[in-house]
Amino acid sequence: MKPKKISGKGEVWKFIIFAVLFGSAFLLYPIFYSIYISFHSMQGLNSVFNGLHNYIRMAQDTVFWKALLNNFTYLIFQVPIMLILGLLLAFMLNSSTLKGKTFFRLALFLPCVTSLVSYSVLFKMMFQVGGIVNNFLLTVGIIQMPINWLNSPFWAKVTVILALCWRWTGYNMIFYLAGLQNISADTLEAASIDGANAAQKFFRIIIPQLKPVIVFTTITSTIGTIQLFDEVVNLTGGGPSNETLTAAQLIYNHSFVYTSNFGYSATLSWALVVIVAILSIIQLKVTNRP
Amino acid sequence: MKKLAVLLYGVVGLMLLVACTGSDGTDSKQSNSSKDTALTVWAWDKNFNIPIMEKAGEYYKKDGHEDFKLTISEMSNDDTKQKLVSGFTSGVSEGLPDIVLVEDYDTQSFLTNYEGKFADLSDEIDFSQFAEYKVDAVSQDKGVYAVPFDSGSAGLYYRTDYLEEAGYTPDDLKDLTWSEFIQIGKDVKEKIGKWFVAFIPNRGTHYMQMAMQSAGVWYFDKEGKVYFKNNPVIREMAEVLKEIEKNNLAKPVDYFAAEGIGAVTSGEVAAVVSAVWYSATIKSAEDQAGKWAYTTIPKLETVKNATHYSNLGGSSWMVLEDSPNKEAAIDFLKTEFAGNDEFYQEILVDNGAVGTYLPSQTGEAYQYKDPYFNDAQIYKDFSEWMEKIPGVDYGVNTNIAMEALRSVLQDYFDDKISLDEMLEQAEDYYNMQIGE
Repeated sequence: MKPKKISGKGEVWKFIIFAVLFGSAFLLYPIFYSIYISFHSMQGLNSVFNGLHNYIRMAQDTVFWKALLNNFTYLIFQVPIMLILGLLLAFMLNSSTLKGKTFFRLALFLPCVTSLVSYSVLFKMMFQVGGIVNNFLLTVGIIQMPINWLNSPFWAKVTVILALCWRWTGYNMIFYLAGLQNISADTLEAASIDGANAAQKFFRIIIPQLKPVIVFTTITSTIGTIQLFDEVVNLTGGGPSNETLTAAQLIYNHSFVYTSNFGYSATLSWALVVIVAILSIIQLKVTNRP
Repeated sequence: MKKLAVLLYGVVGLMLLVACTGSDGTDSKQSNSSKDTALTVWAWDKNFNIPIMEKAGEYYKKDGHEDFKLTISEMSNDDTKQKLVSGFTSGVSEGLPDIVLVEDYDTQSFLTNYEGKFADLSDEIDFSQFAEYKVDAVSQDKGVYAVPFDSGSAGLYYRTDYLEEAGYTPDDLKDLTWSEFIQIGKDVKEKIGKWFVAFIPNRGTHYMQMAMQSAGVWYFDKEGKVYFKNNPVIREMAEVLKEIEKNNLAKPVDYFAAEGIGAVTSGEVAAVVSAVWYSATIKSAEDQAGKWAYTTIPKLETVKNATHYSNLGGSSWMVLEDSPNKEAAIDFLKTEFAGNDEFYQEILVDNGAVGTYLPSQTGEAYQYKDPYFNDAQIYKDFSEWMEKIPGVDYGVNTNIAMEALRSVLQDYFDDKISLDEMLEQAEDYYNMQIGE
């Protein structure tokens, strides 16, 4: 049968009308509605238009800024550690001499199929004062006194970062592994013949060729860290003294824990959207430089 | 091909039509036909609220409502709140329950922010039969919007064996002040090397709340303004918490989570300050039978009108105004929770539930001598204390106030800020979070 040529706008609309309808109802409408309510102050059902007040309030809200600062602290420390670790692991697992590759790949990937909440709860148990981590460190003799992991401002952050690395390193590693398998063995072999050592091969050949994958993982990790919620809520509840509070948790608090001010929550959410967009653009610009 | 496309459009169109209208049509039909007999309830705690509600349903069946059906959805307190809020703000009344359990700290906030969503029960039920402080907590503008349920009447539980080892007799623990409480804690820690209590000091707002209620004050003044800086209870209790933290008297675990309960039931701690409903948790450690005793909570030293009697937690049943089964729900609560003494006796013995329905407290079950606590009359004692608990207005922003204090306590413990600075920062935090 000869394929019929699609002619006229009517024909095209038949194909996309449902997608457009659903997209408008479930994607566009919420987006525009959240902008609309960000100009309202709400207390439950009592909604009052208040112009730019929410945005001014946000600018002066030190708690929000502290939460953002925490997000950036996680970003600065956790994302590089996780990505470098993921890259190294992928490089090792890609080696042709390694035995039991499938086992290691599976073991490293398993953390990211566990549920966010259950792994947070497990970490919370492990990092208790009398938990397995402290017991181990005491037995080995690395520490003399148990560390109060979850309730000291410094260690609570460290615990969150450790938990994040455990959960997401394997996830990023899989992308790198896929990327590595696209790098032709010939180039690496040629480099070997030319006398390049492992480090040279890694930095001069593999990293440049993996650049698109690295950019991708950096951007997704950045977005993920800015939206961080589950781990912090379940591990530390944002404490002590808001030292681990994230912006997403603050948004949740304003929606469901405090007085359900969805207007202000929407304002804070839009601030996050803008931050994520800016960071992504910067990362793309930096990495696209010739 | 064309036929297939037509068929596809037809099916999708039909589905949309069903999706849009179906819920209205079928639901209303269903609820009309079984209007008086089926109720949906949302509540938390599989060991406490849920079995009690089930029992109430059985009693109601026996009381001549043979077709009565109760569907209880178990969800955490947080989830209950979140689902109610989502339902109310989206303006959809379907999918919400007929009866919902609400913690007393949250009722005022719900009543203010979701005006008209809960049924006023003041004409239906005689509220003079309930403990006054509980009725206060669920009243607004002359209306009463919930059937008060369990009491949070608070006490100090302690391990007699540990305290004896540390050199204390049960008489020494009677009528303590908070500083004496800390001194005992230090001795326990020093002499027998056990934690004294289990909770995270920088999240120890429940201690402050118990202390505030024992003196009839709260986080807010009469005008509803935040009341931290000059609040004598918060000032005294901040120092108490700091002492507890400094001297490592508390095992720093979430007191209401598995690890906190585990610390108590595994014998790691010597004392617990909590409500009567916590006795069920303590009793779950069967091997410690006979080793636990209880007394009233410590008293504030610097505050006028301070007592040894206070409340922690406790919740009440609310009926949704828009529920198609509103009358049936009210009748059910009225019959069982505001009129059935026998039911209250049964849940007391089986579930350790001290209800706040006063007539039920003359019943025989209240004389029960609990062998676990060396034949002490625990329910009689806690309910006698309950009648002496000062009432306070929890206001609409208890949760923000709590968070505000939690956000600064650790800095105060670490000597980064003084007490005055801490309270000032907490007030700022509070005002910022309510948008003032």
